[in-house]
Amino acid sequence: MWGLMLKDLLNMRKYLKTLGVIVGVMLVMGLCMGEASFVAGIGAMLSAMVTIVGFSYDENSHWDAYGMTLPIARKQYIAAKYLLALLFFALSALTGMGMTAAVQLVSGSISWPDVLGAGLGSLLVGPLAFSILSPCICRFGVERSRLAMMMVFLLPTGLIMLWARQGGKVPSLSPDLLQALPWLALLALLVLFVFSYFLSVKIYEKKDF
Amino acid sequence: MIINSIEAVNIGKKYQDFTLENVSFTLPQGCIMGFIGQNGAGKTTVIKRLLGLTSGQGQVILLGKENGGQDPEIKQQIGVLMDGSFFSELLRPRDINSVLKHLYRRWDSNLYRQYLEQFEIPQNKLLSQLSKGMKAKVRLAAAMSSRPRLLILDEPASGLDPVARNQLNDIFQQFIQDEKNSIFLSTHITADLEKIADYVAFLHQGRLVFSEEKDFLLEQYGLAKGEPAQLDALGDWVISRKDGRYSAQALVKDREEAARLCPGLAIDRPSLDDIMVFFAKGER
Amino acid sequence: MNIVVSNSSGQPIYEQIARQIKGLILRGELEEGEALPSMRLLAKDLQISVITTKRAYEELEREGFIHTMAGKGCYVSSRRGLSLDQEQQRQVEESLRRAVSEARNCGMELEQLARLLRELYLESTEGKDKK
Repeated sequence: MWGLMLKDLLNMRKYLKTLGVIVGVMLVMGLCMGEASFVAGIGAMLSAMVTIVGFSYDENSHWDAYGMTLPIARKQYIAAKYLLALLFFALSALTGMGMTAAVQLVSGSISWPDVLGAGLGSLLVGPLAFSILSPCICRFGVERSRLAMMMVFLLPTGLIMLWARQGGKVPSLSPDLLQALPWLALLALLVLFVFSYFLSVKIYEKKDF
Repeated sequence: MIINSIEAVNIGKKYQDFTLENVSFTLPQGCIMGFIGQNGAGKTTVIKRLLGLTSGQGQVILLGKENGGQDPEIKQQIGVLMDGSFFSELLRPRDINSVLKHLYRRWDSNLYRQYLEQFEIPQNKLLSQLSKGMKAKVRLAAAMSSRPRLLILDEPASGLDPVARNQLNDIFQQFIQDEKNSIFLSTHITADLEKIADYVAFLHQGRLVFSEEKDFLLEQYGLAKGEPAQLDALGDWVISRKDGRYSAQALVKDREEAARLCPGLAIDRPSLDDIMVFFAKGER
Repeated sequence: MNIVVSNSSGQPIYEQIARQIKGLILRGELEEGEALPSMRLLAKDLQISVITTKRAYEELEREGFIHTMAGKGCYVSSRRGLSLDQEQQRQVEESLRRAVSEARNCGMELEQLARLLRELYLESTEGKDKK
């Protein structure tokens, strides 16, 4: 299974380098503009995209038929993708938090709730997009899932950016619920993620290659 | 105690515009079996059924285990080469080593390197930068370096020149020096099978026309050439015939019988290509 | 030991191999107790099927030319038990059989054939004397 994750990372070598440059540029821009929210937002979107890119490299090289002959149970294929996704989500959350902290440092003091908010915010996008798209791609392939992909990326990203700009406050709810909301959302996403994993496994186990 | 590396019983698969049906054969341990057939005859489908890549009819026993293709432990002992499916071309030969050594317990990095050197393949170029022939050789190196007991190869010689194919023959025969090792390969290049195959099976339009010892095929069958009237005299012994303007040929099931029935007829040893062509003609 | 197999000789390959090895043994070029290459090694060297070499070795063993020692391989048997004459006679018979078939194919009569045989035989002994 580590072998499969390594394969995906090696496939993405060039892509990740480009991404690194983009993230670097964004950080500089963010520091200059004193604005971190778009950084966190785009970072989150990118993390979701990266996980999907792995699928698309496989599809382009017709990897699946050969891949399935390797000495691995089908559910381990899915596990490798999901684990890699988790890795990227964690990375993007850390990056989002780091950037927010850096921007705040430059313009004054660090507001830890904001930093945490940025981290959580980016965690809301990636897992949601991935959880929805992954079973879709397992079933229909990358090409046929493109429309779904576009919708899944654009909508939440826009929402997150708005939310972060408003300081993460939603006026009409009680303070307790407000505090708990992000954590509830995170919990919901975790459940969705796990459910998505089992769904993808089921799809793969029945699939003809 | 495995006696047969592969046992296939009535395997089949229904697609929209193509059906594979009732393909049964056995590959004893220590042997090389070649599956021949035209493009589109279903050879790749057979391989996919053997490896459990697609669902379908029939029973498959790999290395003694039913549905061995679903069992990672069995797959540890099988080296596979799929035509048209492999690692992404963004990888280099040495990346493949890095990946596969984590997947196959018996992966031998030194052996992999040796094969690449023998084939003169640069380890550090991207697959996209290699020629078709070189890519084919990388696939083969990948299939063999896990020290498998069974090789299942779909068109391994595709894209290789005769010199390279001869190298392959040598490697295959070296592989079965260990009599527990077996090779199953599908190909439409029959020249190599004529030399090294122990068994040959012919797949035509989704059905198995024959599965025989290669020696039997090449020594029993004959390519008879003569007058149309002479060929007529051979009756049922003829698989099919080709009557041209100035010549007539027929593939006969038993050359000795044919010689007896019609002395004076020129009867040559057929090539596998001849057998394939005449059988295909007869099936129509 | 050097074996030559030909696809165009009309004789099954396993027979060609068996015959040549018999010849080597009978002429003493392969000595008693000498090890033969393994079936697989020979098949690889000649680029033929292992079933072919197996068949050849099985025939040799059946006719007492070689014997197998479990786990070790095939070895040349003692020639004392083998009739040099019998084997060579068999080979001559085979050649004659072919000649007869050819002769009948082109409509040659028995007397004609016998005459031809006599001529050829005398010719070859003459040749030998001259040498």
